[in-house]
Amino acid sequence: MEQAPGKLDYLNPLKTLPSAFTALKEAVKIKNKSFWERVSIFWDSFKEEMGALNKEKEEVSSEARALIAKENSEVTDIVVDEINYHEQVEDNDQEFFRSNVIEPVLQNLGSDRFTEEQRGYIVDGLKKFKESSEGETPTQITEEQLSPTLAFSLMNLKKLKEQYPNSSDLKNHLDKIIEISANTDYPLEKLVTDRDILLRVLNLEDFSITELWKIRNLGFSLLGKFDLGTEVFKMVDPTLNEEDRESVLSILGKKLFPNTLENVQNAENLKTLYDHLYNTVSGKKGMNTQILAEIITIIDVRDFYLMIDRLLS
Amino acid sequence: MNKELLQSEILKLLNFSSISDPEKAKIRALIEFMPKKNLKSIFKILSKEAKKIKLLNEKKKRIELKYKLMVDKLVNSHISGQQKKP
Repeated sequence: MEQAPGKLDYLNPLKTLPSAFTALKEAVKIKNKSFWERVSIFWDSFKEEMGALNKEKEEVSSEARALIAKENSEVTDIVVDEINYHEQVEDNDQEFFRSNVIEPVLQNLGSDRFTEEQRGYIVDGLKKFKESSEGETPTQITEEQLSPTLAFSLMNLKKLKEQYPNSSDLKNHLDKIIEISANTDYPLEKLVTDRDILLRVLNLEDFSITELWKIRNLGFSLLGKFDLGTEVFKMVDPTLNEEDRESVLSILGKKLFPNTLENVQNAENLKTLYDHLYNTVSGKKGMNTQILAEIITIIDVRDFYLMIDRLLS
Repeated sequence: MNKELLQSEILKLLNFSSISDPEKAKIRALIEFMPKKNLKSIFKILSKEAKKIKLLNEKKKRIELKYKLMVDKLVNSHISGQQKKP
């Protein structure tokens, strides 16, 4: 006699118990419907009990979700209080800032891509950027802090890209964020436009080769993660000639932005991206929301993931 | 329970909770800065959820077993009925 296997496949119980299939086939042929009726009662009762169980589970989940959302909202309020709006900022602008800056940033910080330890390093790294944006010179950022902090920043940019695939929409969005943040203790415009903030975090005078050499350990560690080679140091060289430029561009394209380079249009865009990066890092031209929006739009979202994963590896 | 223990227990419970990923992420991001009052509440909510889900999973297993036995019985009675036929 056939024994029922250990685990019943409820999605396809007849597959689990082949004889049940035969039995059912036989049952429908029999003039006397008692067997079929019994089978029918069996499945109805089974569906009913499992349905009630799933409903109970859903009730437990939705109760937990509602209560957690309430607690999270209460704690987010504490973060919002930290923002400290200086002037009368309209309620809808405060709500915009909360849902477009605070909430996504918290969600990215809590991403399961980061370990608890990395999350701690990110918070430490961000504190250094805050100190620097206030004109202080923090202690130099460490290798452990730099990689996850960069990965976290890229995650925020990636989220913006997904939200606003169009460059001019993204620029408008960034402008609005910057405008509201100007009336808080966290004016974000500086973070976009002031390259000295990064220089102070890295404890450098400028991005010249001589200065960069001072943070070679930090640099080599990052370059190693991207397998870029020291040639990209040329990127910031003010005397960069056309040949060197092509060579740096080629390395960046192959190693950093392979997906962005999938078509000719993007290859052209990559040149624009490189020019933006070169001008910003070398100090030839300042960064602004227009350029930042263009950079974010040009980079393929898969390359964002690639960079984030490498930084966290 | 002290603050550190509450934080570590909450992080463990999050792995099995059915709350949404963005809410989980927010807890992970804010856990270091949460006042003990909120940590206690979150711990209470998550452990209550875990207990209820555990009970429901046990109930599910009992139902599965009950129906497995019923299928066995149904099939066996049909097969023996078929064998008795000339």
